[in-house]
Amino acid sequence: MSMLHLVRTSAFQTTDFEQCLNVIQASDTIVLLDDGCYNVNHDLWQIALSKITLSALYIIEAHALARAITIDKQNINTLSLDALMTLICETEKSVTWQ
Amino acid sequence: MSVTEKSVAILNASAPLSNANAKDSLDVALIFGSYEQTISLYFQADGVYQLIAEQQPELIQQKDFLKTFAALEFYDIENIYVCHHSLNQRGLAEKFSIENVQVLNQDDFAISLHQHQTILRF
Amino acid sequence: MITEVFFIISIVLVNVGHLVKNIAFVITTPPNSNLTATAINIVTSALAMNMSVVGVFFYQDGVLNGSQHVALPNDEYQAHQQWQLLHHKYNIPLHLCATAAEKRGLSDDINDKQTTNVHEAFILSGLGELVELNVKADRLVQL
Repeated sequence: MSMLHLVRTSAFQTTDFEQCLNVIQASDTIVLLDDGCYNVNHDLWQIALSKITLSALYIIEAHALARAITIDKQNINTLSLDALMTLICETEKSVTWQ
Repeated sequence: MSVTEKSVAILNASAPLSNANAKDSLDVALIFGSYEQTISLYFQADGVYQLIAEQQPELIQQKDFLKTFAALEFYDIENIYVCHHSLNQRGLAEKFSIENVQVLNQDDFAISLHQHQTILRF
Repeated sequence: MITEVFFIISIVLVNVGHLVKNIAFVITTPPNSNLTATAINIVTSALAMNMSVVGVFFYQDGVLNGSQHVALPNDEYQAHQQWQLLHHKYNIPLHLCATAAEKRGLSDDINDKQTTNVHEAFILSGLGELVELNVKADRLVQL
């Protein structure tokens, strides 16, 4: 019953990511893409880390690099868009936060 | 070709009047309803404003599409959930323009949303 | 005289733990947004994995991708053209929600004279198409 959350907006700008964390369950997966990548440096990221196991937290590498966001492997795993597509296939359902 | 019917949820996160998200979302809900697909509506964050009673959109040249919520019943769309936390944050009482609204605490809201296979958010 | 020899190679790809699936997309972002580039890249990934993209439904500002007259600076990502390429190469149906399109000035019957400003790679469809895509696809992804 796990859900894939595609987070595309910055928590510094909108409450989309906060809303996402309000409905997240322990077995879910979060993927940060587009401006959602900025969330890895937001206070709310600590909440994500407390609710979801590190292995289910991802950031699209190219999207992070495009924004000069340093990726700390202690906080998040990198993912390619191809791998995201695999994740979409493997997870029963997804919701997009944008 | 018969496939197990996928249960659809629409998550409403936008206030009703400044942009078209609420109306666009309702149009989608009604179309699924008219095709007799199982659909449930969720209201979170500013989306909870959509259901608040006694709004007067006509005062700002806005068609009162909120009346269309009454059509949900006609299409058997009866699973309507509002996030209690979102109401609280906005100091809103549980006075809604339609019946059949279930106010859920955060945990139950999350659990309920997870039951659906297709989730669209507006 | 060069004799061209065509080698037809059939490769059966066995992907362990991953079945070819049917997928559909809902697009709500306009052609001049980088979010649409992301969406196109994701659709392209799906195709590269031999998935069947049963359709793309354009809703809200997404319908602007279907305009005949999108003109983006040459050095920028040509999202509208990318959709057209995907359609022509893979036969992916590109559905523009008719009511959303109308609201944004897109029509295939301008002034009742059957003039169109919708690009031929796209078709104007009712919202019911979204329901159909949800039924047909194993996954419906909103972008």
